[in-house]
Amino acid sequence: MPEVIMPKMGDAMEEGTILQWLVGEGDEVAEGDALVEIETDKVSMELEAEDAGTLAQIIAQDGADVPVGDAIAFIQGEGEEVPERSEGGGEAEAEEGGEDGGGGGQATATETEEESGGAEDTGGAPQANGQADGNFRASPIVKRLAQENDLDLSKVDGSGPQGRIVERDVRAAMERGDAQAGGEADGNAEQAESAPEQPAAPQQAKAPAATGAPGTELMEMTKMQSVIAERMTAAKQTVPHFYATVEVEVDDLMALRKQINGQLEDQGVKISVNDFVMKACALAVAEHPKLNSLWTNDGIELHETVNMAMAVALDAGLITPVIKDTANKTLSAISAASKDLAKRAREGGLKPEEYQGGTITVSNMGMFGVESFSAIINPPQAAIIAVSSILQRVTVKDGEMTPVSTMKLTLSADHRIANGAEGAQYMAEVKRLMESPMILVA
Amino acid sequence: MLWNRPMGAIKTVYEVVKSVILFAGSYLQEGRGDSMSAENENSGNGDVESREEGGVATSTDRLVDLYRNMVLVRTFEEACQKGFRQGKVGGYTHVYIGEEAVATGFLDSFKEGDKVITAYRDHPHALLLGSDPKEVMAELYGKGTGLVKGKGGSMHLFDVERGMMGGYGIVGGHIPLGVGMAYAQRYQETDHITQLYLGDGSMSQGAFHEAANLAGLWGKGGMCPCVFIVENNQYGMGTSVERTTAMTDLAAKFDAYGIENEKVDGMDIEAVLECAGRVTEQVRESGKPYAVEALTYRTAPHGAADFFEKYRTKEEVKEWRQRDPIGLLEQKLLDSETIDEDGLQEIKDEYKEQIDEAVSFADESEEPAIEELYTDVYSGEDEYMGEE
Amino acid sequence: MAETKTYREALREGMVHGMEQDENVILMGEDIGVYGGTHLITDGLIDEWGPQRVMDTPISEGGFTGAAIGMAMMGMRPIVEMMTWNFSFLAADQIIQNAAKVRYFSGGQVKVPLVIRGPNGGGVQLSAQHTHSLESFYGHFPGLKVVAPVTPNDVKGMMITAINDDNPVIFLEAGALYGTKGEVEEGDNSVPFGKARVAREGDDVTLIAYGRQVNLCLRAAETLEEEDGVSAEVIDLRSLRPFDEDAIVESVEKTHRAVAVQEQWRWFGVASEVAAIIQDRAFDYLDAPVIRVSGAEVPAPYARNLEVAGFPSEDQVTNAARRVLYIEEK
Repeated sequence: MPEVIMPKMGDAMEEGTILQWLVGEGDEVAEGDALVEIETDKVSMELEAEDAGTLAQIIAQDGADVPVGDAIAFIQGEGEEVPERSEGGGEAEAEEGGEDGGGGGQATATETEEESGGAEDTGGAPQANGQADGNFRASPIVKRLAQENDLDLSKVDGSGPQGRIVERDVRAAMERGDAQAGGEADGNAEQAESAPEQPAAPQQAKAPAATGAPGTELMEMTKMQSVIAERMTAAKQTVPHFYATVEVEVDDLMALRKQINGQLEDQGVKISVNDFVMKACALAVAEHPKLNSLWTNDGIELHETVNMAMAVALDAGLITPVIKDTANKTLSAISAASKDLAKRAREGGLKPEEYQGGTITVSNMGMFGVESFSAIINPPQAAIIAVSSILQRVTVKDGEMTPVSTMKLTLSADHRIANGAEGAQYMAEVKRLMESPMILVA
Repeated sequence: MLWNRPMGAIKTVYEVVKSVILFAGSYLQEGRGDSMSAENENSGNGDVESREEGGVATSTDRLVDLYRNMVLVRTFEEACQKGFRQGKVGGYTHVYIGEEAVATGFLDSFKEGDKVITAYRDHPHALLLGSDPKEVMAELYGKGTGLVKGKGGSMHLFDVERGMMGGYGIVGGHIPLGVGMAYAQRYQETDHITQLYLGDGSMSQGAFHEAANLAGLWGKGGMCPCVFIVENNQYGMGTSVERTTAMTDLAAKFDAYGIENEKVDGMDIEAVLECAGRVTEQVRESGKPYAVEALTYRTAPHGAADFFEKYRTKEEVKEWRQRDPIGLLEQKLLDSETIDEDGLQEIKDEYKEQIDEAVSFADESEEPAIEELYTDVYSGEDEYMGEE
Repeated sequence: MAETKTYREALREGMVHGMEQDENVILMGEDIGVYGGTHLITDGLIDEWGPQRVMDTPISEGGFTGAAIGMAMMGMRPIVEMMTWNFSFLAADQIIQNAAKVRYFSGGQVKVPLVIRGPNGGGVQLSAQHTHSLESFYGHFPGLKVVAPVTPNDVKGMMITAINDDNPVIFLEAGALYGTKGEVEEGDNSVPFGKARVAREGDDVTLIAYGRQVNLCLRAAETLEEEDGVSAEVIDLRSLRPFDEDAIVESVEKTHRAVAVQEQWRWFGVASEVAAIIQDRAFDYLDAPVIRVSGAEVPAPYARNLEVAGFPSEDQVTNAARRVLYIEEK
């Protein structure tokens, strides 16, 4: 069935306006009949029918702005049917700069350096080591930062094309503190792993050689896995952990969550239990600042702002993106941030500043049905809170057996920073906040 | 000096031109040729020369003044050539030797507020409008005391206060500017006019034809008081008029644009003077453009030197020198006993001295301050956009 | 007070503002009077201002541009329309040899308060002879000023500034955007030359453009935000001579990465100048080479798909940004 389209009436015309239809739906039209008055910002004209038939359907009504080339009506010839159309009106807004920008790769995109890498150079995976040929490939800002911060770039691996050390590499190394000139760092910085390096190099655990026995298979460690192995070993060996577990009743919290999510469903907000946990852990810090601190060479660095790291499991290992200033964020903001970070963490799309700078960590295994677990501290942070599953239990209240929903939260804390009583008091505060959840939304 | 007095019978400019150019029979339009012939028959009159048509009386005093002006130009140009050959004048330099009567005659009709624009053979126009020969010479010498501070050189003499709107270096490129200036003079409701000088070579340029078309068009409404003065010295550099156009009647080309036109003997100062006086007043009155083709000859090379024998013969140059405008006027002044040989020599000596001073001034002046490199690029605050 | 107007209306308003202020301001060009202008920029003005202020010229770019230069040297302030900038090559001798230089070679004795304006760039299938972006061509010559406003407010404000400027101004309009709308300040909204506009603030990468490519960069920035979580800053140069070096240097000092986008051909273009300035003045802040995104090195083709492919695309800009960010291209 012939479409009547918005015609192009000038070289810069993007859209036209339907001034007035001169025929109505169902009217018979002959070829050359004036159908409709159309106006552009330059001209106006009567559009004539190019086909004879019945004006079966007017798609764009009087006053509508229609992009050039879009259908404004259908003319039905004998034996033709009107197609289904779901769009209404053709009321496309004139968009500034609405010219077509989709295009092939014909035009040129060029770098100013000869080493303009192709796609294979830019995938983000680290390539040749920066110093492979005796010269560091490093971007200008990296060289400047190295000079200003007295860094040894031989200890930094480059993640850019041909092993170029780029800003994110050196920022990560600075965060870990392992690129100091004259330092002991091993130079195996892994850009996708944020866990800061130990102040002192860890002792490698002695491991036996592979047996090579039938039915075994040697799995090669990814770089991320080796780094995690090192870090976790170092953390567990050098950081004196202590643990404190609380059981939290979450019925009120669950009810509140249901209420909030129900009311905010239209806005696409869906707050998770973990978001409540993070908010509570962040707020509780106010009274217990030692739990939001870093163990540094110069002493314990107390942080006023809570930058909550959240452990995200990846196929290749683990990463801990950071929700900045969690204490001052609303639950929905925390929720949005955690969803976004987790998603992009899994896609490998995190920027260095998004997984650096955490001051306390939450690790959630609630989705796996664990009753309780203890987590390894993420140095140089003081604390990590392990979140377990919600379980139904029966408790005695006012002499009666009452069913309750509970979850266990286990603190792992660095004893060099806080003692057991301090840890316990902090967890008691977390429990109080979660059991009075209105405070979390206040 | 390179000027000759006429010896024996003096040919008219047209006879000389005929001997050079194989022009079409229509070269001289009816009436105009007659007028010119009459004028030449009358030459050699006493202190007052009357003309057959629209003649003006030229007093002997005035003739002496014109003589002085031409001697100024000639003396300057010869010093300029000398300076070029000495390596004191750089770049290109183009002298007006042989053509003096044209600018001298037309600029005699210049009135305050009028504008003059020309191409690169521009020294006489500045000098005749009153620019200090010292400053003009200093410009050629590339000195900070130059007329345009050493930034333009020989081809770009400007003295805006005196109405000199510039010499321009691209053949034909200045013609639209002159037409625009004339338009502005009327738009701004003045009775000033623009004298637009152009060479025969420029008339093959598109810029000429576009500008002439605009002038004719605007002239219909009295909005283009522009006198086109074609300094037809027979050659665009080394190519003669007849080798560049099949239509060698340059004045007649203006017919195509509805612009009145005529020819004048550009070697005869009195003829030029008469024509200039009449034409400039008509243009001032009407606001319509008018074109005059002045037939003249550059007896000097195109630049300070060129391949003299390649494009014209010694005989041809010699023949034209017989009609040297200064020589012709000298003869007239002597014949009429207006002045004697000593008087003429006195004038020449006077200008020799003045130009010698100008050369000394130019030679001794300082080069432009290096800061001048960066000024006058833009008008206003952000004068310079580069690194100094 | 600000009102929504089209680019065309805003441009006309800027010129009318100039004509109201000074009767030396006149409009000249082909078919700008009785016909109303090929792009209707001057539509209706001859009725209000008469044929002396709104002058139809013959098809004679060299002639009328040269005449306008002469008028400007006499104190008039003509605004010359190039029906399109493609025709300005016929006037290039006048613009470059006379307008740009006469002040200098006259030792500062004259000035040329002249605006030459018209649509620049392509995008509407006008093919080879009618598609050029001439900013680097004219931007090359000292003595000229070159501007390329993209928003309706800027086109008015820069026109007012151009009229008041005592120098020849090459006013390159985004011809494909004459019908686009935007907020335009009432009255004298002069926009100074030599000041870039931050069209969008961002932290991770700077996209630098002018003319209609600014809109392309804004769209690319949105995509980068949505798909990559990248915060892109977009700088609209809008004035190319004088050039706001500080604006791009400051931005790159913040973002450490830059992509320069131009519709014109890559070789000897504005984007190359941008790259050179950045390496010159912000070298120690760079985390990646500056990438230029330019038009294909061909005369503009006619067919729509070829034309689109020959101009910078949003994909090219977003991927260029990803490359300087060392993240995967899509």
